[in-house]
Amino acid sequence: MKKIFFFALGLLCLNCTTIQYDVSTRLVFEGQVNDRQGNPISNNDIEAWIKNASDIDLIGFTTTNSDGHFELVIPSPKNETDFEITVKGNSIYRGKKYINIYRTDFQDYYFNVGEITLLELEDISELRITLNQTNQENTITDIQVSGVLADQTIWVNPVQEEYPEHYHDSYYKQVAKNQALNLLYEVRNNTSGQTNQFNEIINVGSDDTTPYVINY
Amino acid sequence: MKKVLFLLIVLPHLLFSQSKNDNADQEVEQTFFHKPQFYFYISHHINKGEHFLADGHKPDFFGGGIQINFIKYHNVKFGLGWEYHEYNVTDKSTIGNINSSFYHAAFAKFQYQWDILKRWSIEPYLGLGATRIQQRYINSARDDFYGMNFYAGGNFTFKLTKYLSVFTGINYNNIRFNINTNSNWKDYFNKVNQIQMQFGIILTVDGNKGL
Repeated sequence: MKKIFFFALGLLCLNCTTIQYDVSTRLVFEGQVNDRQGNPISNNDIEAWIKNASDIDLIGFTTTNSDGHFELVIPSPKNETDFEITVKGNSIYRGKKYINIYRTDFQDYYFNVGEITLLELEDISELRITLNQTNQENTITDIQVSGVLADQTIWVNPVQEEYPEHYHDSYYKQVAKNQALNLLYEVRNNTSGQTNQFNEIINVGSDDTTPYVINY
Repeated sequence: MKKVLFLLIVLPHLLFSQSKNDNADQEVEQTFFHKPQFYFYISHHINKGEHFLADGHKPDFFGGGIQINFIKYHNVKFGLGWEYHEYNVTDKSTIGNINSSFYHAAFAKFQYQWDILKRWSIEPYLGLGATRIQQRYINSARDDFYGMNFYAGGNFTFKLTKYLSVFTGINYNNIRFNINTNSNWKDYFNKVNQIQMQFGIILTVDGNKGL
């Protein structure tokens, strides 16, 4: 009897976690995939994923047309509100994921991913920033790099960090080659409590790695 | 196959022989019938245009349906029916990662029986119905949506025996669904035009007039 009870309970739980769809509601994603020079990338795979706490579905997929454009229509999930668009990479380009797309981001059942720039794998350099602590009372509280980045994950709705990020020893970022990056970082003096912002330019060349040092 | 054909021809005679009316004059004068007429048919769907059935699906070559005409006044007949057709999803970029769609329709039709020859008739008709599209997605779970449809078409029938006829028909089917989606995609999901072709048999309980 116990076995039957737990088997039935198991079936019930399985049913609870399966993602259900409302096929009478259709959501539309649209986007444009280009390379760094702005040329369209055709025939690139695009996937739409839905997930909940214990399940994940590939609910739709398409490829970009000759203009690098795509439209993807999926049935709306009944309960889940968290969507992900994956722009697949290949032997030439590095792919990207747009995660944390919420149901509230859709206007008229439509979400525009916008222009998606894929970098060639050979066009990516690893920025290695060495964090050289020259004053023991100082702490780096924030580092931001802007320019042409090679991030694989784009947070459409950034998640608020529960704890502040700590920066020690080094900081890594995948970036495009042959550009000038804007580096912004904050240094806090633990004794005085004063925080200072610094803005620097990093010139990235054509090497696979780009070393840089922050003295703080 | 021979046995099936034999049964199809003989069975109606055996079943409906009690309803045979020997008085030919009385048959001509009778204008109102309530004895049913059964249509059993296979159907073929042809979808054209920019809508989700034409663009994102491929129908099975044959579906099926039944229709029961239970009221006849002079040559105007009224009947109810149901039909079914299975579709495979061919474009997952517009339909989603769904394997199959199932077309169900319940309808009511007004038909006019025009006897052009002793054994040959033409039956133009108009009808209204409700369509349900059921879709089976990942994990074999299902969900459905509904629409209203309008039929206009006709049958060409040949009376094989007193109780059995064969027919072929063609009709235009206009369906309006109520899908909630982006305004650019509403017509794609909500307006369906299709041609349906049928081939089947008719069992007439009251007997075919004139045979």
